[in-house]
Amino acid sequence: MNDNNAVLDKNIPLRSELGQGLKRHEGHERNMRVHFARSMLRNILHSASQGLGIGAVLTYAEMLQMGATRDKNRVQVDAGIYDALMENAAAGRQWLAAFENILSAFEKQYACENIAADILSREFAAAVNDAEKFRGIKNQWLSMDPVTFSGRVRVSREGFREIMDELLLNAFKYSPPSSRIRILCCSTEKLVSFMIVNEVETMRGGVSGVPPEYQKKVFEPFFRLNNTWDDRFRDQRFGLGIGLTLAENVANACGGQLYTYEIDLPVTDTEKSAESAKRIVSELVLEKAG
Amino acid sequence: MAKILAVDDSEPMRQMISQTLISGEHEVVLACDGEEGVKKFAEDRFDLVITDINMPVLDGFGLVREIRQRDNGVPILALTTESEDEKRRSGAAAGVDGWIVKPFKPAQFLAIIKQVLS
Repeated sequence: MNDNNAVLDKNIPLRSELGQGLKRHEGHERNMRVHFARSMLRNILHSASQGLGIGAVLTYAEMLQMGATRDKNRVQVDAGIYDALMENAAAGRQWLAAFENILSAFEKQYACENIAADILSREFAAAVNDAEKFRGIKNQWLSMDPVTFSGRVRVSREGFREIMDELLLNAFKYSPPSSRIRILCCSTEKLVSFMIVNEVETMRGGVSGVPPEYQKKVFEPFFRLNNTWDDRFRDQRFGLGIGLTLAENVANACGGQLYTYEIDLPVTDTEKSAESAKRIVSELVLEKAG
Repeated sequence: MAKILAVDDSEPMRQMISQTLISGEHEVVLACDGEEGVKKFAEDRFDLVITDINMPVLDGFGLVREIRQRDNGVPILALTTESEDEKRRSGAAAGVDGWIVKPFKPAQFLAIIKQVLS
């Protein structure tokens, strides 16, 4: 009995240490959740406050009030400000629709199947076609290598198309006007890789490209490397810094992986060129079936 | 009436700033990013500069630093979605005199401008 008691006594401080460890772990997890919630809210707030939409509705409503004249039950307002208010109210509605899209995308199920190169090539072409309206905004060039690989890959056709839509949109948004975006496909015995390669738009003062420390962060919900908002791309399906998170979810649901990183490539197509420049590569890697 | 340079990369935001300043009987010159802001500032004389912070090509901090090298006296206000203290401190260090968070209230915005100009 005495020996047992001695063991128990020895265990008391051990349990206490374990408790402390658990508390520290829980505290760390809680801090992470709070940090995540804060950054998510901050990103949403940033997006809501700039450009067309909710923030501008508030400012225009107050401007309307400042210049309004009341005559009995009628109020006369400035027509230009009234029109701007209505335009921003419509953009505000688009915002709400984007949130609905995001919710549905999180809940969506993707049926994976074994797909050959010719079918994926058609899906790719359709994604390029979808993205045409965004390509024209900065007058960029798009070149596409043939999608060829032997065998089949396991993926959802719809999911594949959605991932490519998102990667192309990002390439157009975050590369310079009139620059060229390349679509490449290469394969090994077991894997097929689809790459979208674009030039880096320099942001003096902000973050340019995707530096290594941000390669994982860009997949976090509502994370944006630069808090700039380009109204020309307001027709995008999601926006708000959620697109890559959703694309990664789709890729993982099909057993694939999504990456985004920087590499140095020759500035011209000639391999011998001594000069090189940074490029951003967004890469979807899928496993071959069977 | 003051001559004001307003710099913002968002076209609707530029329009809104412009309408507000004109309603306050100010003259407005607009620029769409920091680089264009520097160029327009060099071409003219302004009583006040209002700038966004997060902009492509050259951001607001870069613009303020460039302006401060040329003119240490012109008042500069930041009009931005950024509300964190760290950003405000960086702004103050670069030479920003006042910080307004979007979405702005037009009456308050004009009152701040009046105060800065006086």
